[in-house]
Formats: sequence, C-alpha cells, structure tokens
Amino acid sequence: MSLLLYLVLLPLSVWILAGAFALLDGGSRSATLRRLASRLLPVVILAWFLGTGAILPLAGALVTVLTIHTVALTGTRWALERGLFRGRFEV
Amino acid sequence: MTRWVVNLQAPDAADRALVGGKAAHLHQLLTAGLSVPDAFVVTTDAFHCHFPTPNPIEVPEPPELQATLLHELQRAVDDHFPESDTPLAVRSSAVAEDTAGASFAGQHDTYYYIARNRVADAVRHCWLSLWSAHARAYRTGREPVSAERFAMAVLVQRMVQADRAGVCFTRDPTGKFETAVCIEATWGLGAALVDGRVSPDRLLLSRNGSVLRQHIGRKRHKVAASRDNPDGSRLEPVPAQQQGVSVLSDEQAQAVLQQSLAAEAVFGGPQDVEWAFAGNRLFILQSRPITALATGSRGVTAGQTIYPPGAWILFKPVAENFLEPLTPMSVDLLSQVLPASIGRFIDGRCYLNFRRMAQLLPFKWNNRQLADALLLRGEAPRLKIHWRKAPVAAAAGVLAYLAVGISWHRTARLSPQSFEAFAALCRAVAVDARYDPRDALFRLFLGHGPFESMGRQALQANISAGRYFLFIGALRSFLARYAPDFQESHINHLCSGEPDMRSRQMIDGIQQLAKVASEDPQLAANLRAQAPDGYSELLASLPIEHPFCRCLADFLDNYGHRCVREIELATPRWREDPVTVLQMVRNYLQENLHIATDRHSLHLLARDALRQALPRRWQQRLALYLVRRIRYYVTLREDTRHYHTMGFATVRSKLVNLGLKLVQDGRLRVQDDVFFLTWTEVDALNRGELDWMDVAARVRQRRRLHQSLSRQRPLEMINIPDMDPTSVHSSEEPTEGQELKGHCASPGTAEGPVRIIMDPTTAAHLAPGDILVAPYTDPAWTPLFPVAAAVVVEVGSYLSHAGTIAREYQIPCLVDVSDCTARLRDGQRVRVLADEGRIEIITP
Repeated sequence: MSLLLYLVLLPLSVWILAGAFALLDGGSRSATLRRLASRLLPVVILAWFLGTGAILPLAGALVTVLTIHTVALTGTRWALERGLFRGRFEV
Repeated sequence: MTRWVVNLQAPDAADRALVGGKAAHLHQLLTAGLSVPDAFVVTTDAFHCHFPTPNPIEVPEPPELQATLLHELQRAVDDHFPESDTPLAVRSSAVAEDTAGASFAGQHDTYYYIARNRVADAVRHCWLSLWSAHARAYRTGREPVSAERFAMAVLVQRMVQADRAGVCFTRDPTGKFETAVCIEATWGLGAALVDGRVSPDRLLLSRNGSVLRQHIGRKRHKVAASRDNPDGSRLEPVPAQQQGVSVLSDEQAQAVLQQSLAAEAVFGGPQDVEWAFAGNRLFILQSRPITALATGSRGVTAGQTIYPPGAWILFKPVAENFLEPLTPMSVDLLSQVLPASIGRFIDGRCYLNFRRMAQLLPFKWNNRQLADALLLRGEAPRLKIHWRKAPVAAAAGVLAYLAVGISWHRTARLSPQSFEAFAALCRAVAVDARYDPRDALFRLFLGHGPFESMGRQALQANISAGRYFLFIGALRSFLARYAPDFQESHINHLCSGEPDMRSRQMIDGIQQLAKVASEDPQLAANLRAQAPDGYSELLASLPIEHPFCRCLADFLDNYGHRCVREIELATPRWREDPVTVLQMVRNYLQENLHIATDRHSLHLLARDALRQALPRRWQQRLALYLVRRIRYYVTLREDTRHYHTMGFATVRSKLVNLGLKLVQDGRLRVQDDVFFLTWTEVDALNRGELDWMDVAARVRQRRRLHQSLSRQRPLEMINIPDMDPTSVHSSEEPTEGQELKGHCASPGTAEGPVRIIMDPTTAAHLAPGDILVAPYTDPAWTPLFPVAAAVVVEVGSYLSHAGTIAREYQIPCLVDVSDCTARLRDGQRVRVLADEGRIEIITP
C-alpha cells in the first residue's frame, strides 16, 4: 500500500515542487502561492483519509523527486564541464 | 641534358612530367589563344638535381641552390621580364596536381609580388612546400603519389595586378543547374576567395550567357595588390561603398564566361578556372578539372567527407533556420554540449542519431515513417505502439519527467518580463573578464543550478515551449470529432494574434523607423535612393540627436543582438552591422507600407465561431483552454528565442574581442580567423603556446573546406538503410502548367510574382503582393513577411519560424518545397494553394 502510494505521489510531488520553485520565477507572488496551495490540497485530503501512514510515502516521494532533479541538473553541469558529453569534433 | 628552365610558350612546356600540372595546363591555354600571363617554368629536372631521391614522408633539409640554376634563372628573368621593376608571381606546379583525382588546390605555396632578386629564394620555398604539413595531410588517405610523379616544377609569371579576381566553375558546383556556369568574384587578388576568407559574389549563368541567379556577397575584406604582401595573407578592409556592389560588370562576366568555356573546350571536361582582371584586361591564371562536383542535387562530394559509422538524420529545427555549415568554432563549442549518443556535427551541420531515435520511440514505424516524423514532414504516421520497446521508452519517460518535470511545469506560467533576468545575466557575463567564451556559453546556457529562476534559463524554456504542437494536435483532434466543419482558417485565427509577441514588436519597430524616416523628406529620399552600401555614410552624416538616429539606437538596444543564422557565432549581429535593418526600413519606405491587419478582431471572430460550432459548454471551455495554451506557448517560444539569442551574441562578442587581441599580438592575421579554429587552439594561442605559423595551414584549409561545403546542400540522411540520402529533388525548371509540391504551414491562397531572396542581408527588396521564395527563414527574415502575399521555403515544417510568423499574419505558407529557389524564377507568376500543398506556375 505504502509503495503504491509512494508511486502515485511521485508525479504529484513533481507538480507540488514545481509550484514551490515557481516562487523563484518572479511574477505575482500571491497568484503563485494560491497555485501552490491548490496543489497541496490533494495531499491534505490524502493525509486526512490515510492519517500518518501517508506522511512517509509523501516525504519519500518529495525527497526522491528533489534528489533526482538536483542530481540531474548539477550532474549535467558537472559532466559538461568535464567534457563527458563531448561529441566528436569535425570540420 | 638537364633543362633548368622552359619558356611557357615552348613545345616542351606541354610535358606535364617536366613542367608540372599547372604549367602544362597554362601552356595548353596559351596555345589555344587564351590570355595567360607571360611566364617561364623552373623544371622538374632542376627539382631532381636538388632532391635526387625525394621521399613524400621524410622532410628534407633546405637545399643550397646550384650555381647553374641561379645563372639560368637570372638569364630567364632578364629575357622574359626586362623591365627592372616588374613584380613577379612564383607558383608551385607539382606533377601530381590539377588532375581529375586530386587538385592539391592551395596545398603548395604561391608567392606574389616577388622582386627579381628574390625569385631563387621563392623557388626554393615552393619546392619545400611539397612537404608542408597541409600538403602531407592532403596526401594522407589518398592514392599514394608514385616516385616519378612526386616532383615539382615552379612557374615564374608576370604578376597580374588584379583589382578584381575570382574563380569560374564551368558546372554548377551545387548540382542544382546541371549545365550552368558559376562565377565567384571578389575585389583584389583572388587569394582571399580561394582561401575562403571572403563571401564572394556568386553569379550563375547559362552557357549562352543569360543570368540565372545573382548573389552579391558582402565583401568586407580583400587581398590588396601590394608589394609588401608576398604571401597574399594580409587582408585589408574593402571600403563600405564597395562591399555590397557587384564586382563584375555584365561585359566582364561575359568575358569570364567565354574564356572559361574555351578552357573547358581545350581540356574536354568541366573546369575550375582562376581568373583576374587588371584594369579591363582579363587573364586566366589557372585551370584545373573540377574534383568535387555535386552529383545531381544530392550534394555528395568526391573525396572530402568520410561519413561516420551509424545512421544520421538532419536535425530539422536547426536546418530549417539555415542550411549553411557552421564554422569550426561554432561546431566545436556547440558539440561540447551535444551528447554524442544523441547527435553530432557532420560537415558543419547538426545530425540526430537515427538508430537511437528508433530505439527510444516506441512506435511500429518503418525507416521512412520515422524519417518523415523526425524531419517533421507530411502527415504524422499512425502511432501504433511497439510493445517490446514500450517498457524502455516508458522508463526513460518517467525518469525524464522526474528529472526535468519541475522545470517543465515551471515554464507553464511565466511572464514575458521574467526573461529580463536572462538579459541581465548576459550583460553581466559580457563584462566579466573571468568568463572566457567557452565559460560564457556554459554559464548562459547550461550552468543553471536547481534553484535558479526560470527567467535565467531562456534556452530550456524555449525547448519546453515546443510542446505547443501537442496542444495543436489535441485541438485539431477535438475539433475533428466535435466540430468537423470548423474552418482551418478559424483555427489559425484562434491560435495566433498574440499582440505582445517579440517578433511582432520587432516588425512594429521597423515600421516605426520607417515612419520616423518618412517625417524627414530628405532622409527618406536618401534612404530610398541610396544603395545599401552607402548606409554607413548616410548614418554618419546624421547628427546623433536626429530622431531617426535615436529611434535606430532604441531599436538596436532591443534587437541589436539579432541577425540571420543566429546560432552561428561568426555572423555579425545587427548592432555590429545595421545595414540589414536599414534595408528593411527602405523596403517599407519604398512601398509606403503600413501593416495594419487587425489580427485581434480576427481572433475574437474565430472564438465566436468556435462557440457556435461547439454546442456544449464543457466543449467550449476545453477548446478555449487548449487555444489559450497554444497562444501562450507559441508566444513563449518566440519570446525565449529573442532572449536566448542574446547568449550567442554575448559569446560572439567575447570571441571577437579575443580575435582582436590575438591579431594585435600577431598570433592571428584576421580577427575572424578565430571562427576557423577550435576553442582549444584559440586558448593555446591566447596563452602563447601556439603561434600563427602553427595554425595558419589549419585556418586556410578549414576556410577552404567551409566555402566548399557552403556551396553544397546538406544530405538529409546518412547511412539509413533503404533510404535515399535526400528527398527527391528535381533540378528541372517547371514549365507553364506544371506545379511544385510542399507542405502547408499556413493555409490560404495567393497569386503573384515570384521574388527569390537567398539572403536578407544583401537583398531584401520585396514589393507588396510578391511571393517570397527563400531557402529557409529565421527571425531575421520576419520583417519581410507582412509584405509578402505568400511565403514558400525549401526547408521548414509546420512548427518552423516561417510557419509560425506566416500564421500570425494570415499569409499562406508552404514549406519543404524542394529546390524551389532553383526551380522558380524571379518575376514568374505563380499561384500558391497552401491548403492543397502546391504551387501552380501561371506564366513561365
């Protein structure tokens, strides 16, 4: 059950974190916060129904997504700086 | 008996083994009555006396010239050129060069403006150039030169003090016109053209002399006829008023044509003829067989490209913006960020890994269907899932979503102002000396941390905005089901008409410039009357507080980073060279244009039609949601392109500054040499680890190759089983009643005269009602669109810039019309039936 919940919460976590990261992107802060709150609503409803049993899968999903996202971006930069993606040069 | 020197007119000079390929050819031309400069030849006998057992691999010690040779040379110089101040040209004439298999073009040395007392020295240098690094590299991978053919004679000619020069191919090297003759011309000596250091005028003539195509290049530099420039390597600027002017008059072009065809008749095959004018006198300097002739329209060259293993397909999103090859520096820097498993650069063009795409896309498509899908061509094939591939594709999709889904969602609601952060970042990087060009590229496009504003990630936002085609697909499917009679034109009106789009503001900016110019009758008259080359002087003559100058400065502040071929780092930006902008202003002035289509009203009308076509409220809501998303993403795509090109302009400015510094330090000859080196090489030059002599040959070879590749059409597909390398292209001109086919990018019908524009930087005059025919388009072409009755392009797709802007202006647009710039002619009247994907020829 927890695993299933964790898998369901993965895309939801992407959506929620995108809402949170949007605070960095300028624009109307109140609109962004409203959007974030609306995205958190399904989680609150889920927690309401499932109680504390939902906390661990939710936290796991958020951490997983944040980790993958951070590793993907910093890892890409690291690999690029070391020329690991380098295509063969031809002129 | 050793024959040290031979008169070029003497019968002995027909012996290739004695006088080398170049001199033997010139002898034949001379005896056929063509105008060849006076000359004599230092024979291969003399060469063998100084290099008894020449070895192609081992570089010999420079020999001391024998007294007999010095004596014979002096006598020949005195006999042939009795005037003491005659400047001479000393040119290599190897036995193996100028053959059908190998031209050795530019591989051996030539010296210009040699004084009589320096001829012996120049002869020795010519001989040694047989072992130069680039000559050895050229020989590598070719059929070995036999011992008896590994020899060099040296041609000593009267120097032609050329004020214009060039080459003539007696067959069109692009292969588009099978029998046409192509003349390339530039100011000064031809060395700059042969080495690829200038963009020459290109004239395509039929064999009876009628002009088929004329392209005037912007010739910013020339190799001046000068005694202090013996190797022809020093460039000097061409005066502004001469840069965009045709080098050859009609009579001169006809003279070159006749002499070149005569050379072809002498040798019995297509020739690559070098010619020069000294005053009004034409000289033929060289004639050799064409060794790299395109086969049909395929652009396959003999002996140049060895294609990499694997299957490759042209990356359409880049190709539809320009077809020319990228310069080595652009390739080098961009290839650092292109994963080799996904794509690579071949001949300066970006290709996708076809096999990798076939593995990743989980559909049952054959090669033809996959190629069409990747080339964004034709109707999308049916998506039949390939279940064996599906798990891998699904896993890759989920992982990609987890990795970049956050960024993807963040781009769904961005304000246009948020990208001002990227503009600020570009300004900061431009002035920060800690960033070299490579670091600047990384910082601006790839160095984003996870906690950075999306406004600073213009390129990523641009890529993710491409999802609008998914929404268009969804809208079309929805309407096909619930409102099958809804008109195609209404769909376009629904999805276009966003007033704040940057491309449209740019057109408004040009119109505003035209309006301000028209308020000063003198300036307007000057702009209308003046050829583009006089614009610099025209601008300089205006006081800085003149309203037009202020308006132009504002325009360039906003759009000065734009230009044609924006990702090509070697292309000057509008800020550096505003002539293109002024040409467009002139276009608007000449036709008194005012583009005033009320697109927003059309959009509102289409919305009403949508509401009437869909009876249920949920259907209307869903359709309008899709419309809003499409309009948002189309605008985001155009706007982010406006911003991310600032990044390329920033990297270019750093490279240009570095080039200038290297020229001042004497490590480069010309500022834009940097674009023909790799970043590693430029960095090494900058740190003093390399010098000009270390890179001169590379620069020369790459410039020549780049010029050669520029003449060829890129292959669409390489090594893809069961597929032709390109789509079928016809080189034949259609006759009356015939038609050309393409794909509809913007619907509608229009009729008018054809106006072919190959490059908006040198020719941008388009009258209202003209059908704009172009090889491709990118945002710098945008101001031409509102003037045109319809747009036809050789390369493009529904998603390309041409389609997007044409839909914005409700202009019919056909893309992927093979060879339309070759098959249609200026002034020909045609009818563009975009919905049906065809062009009817009304009058030939």
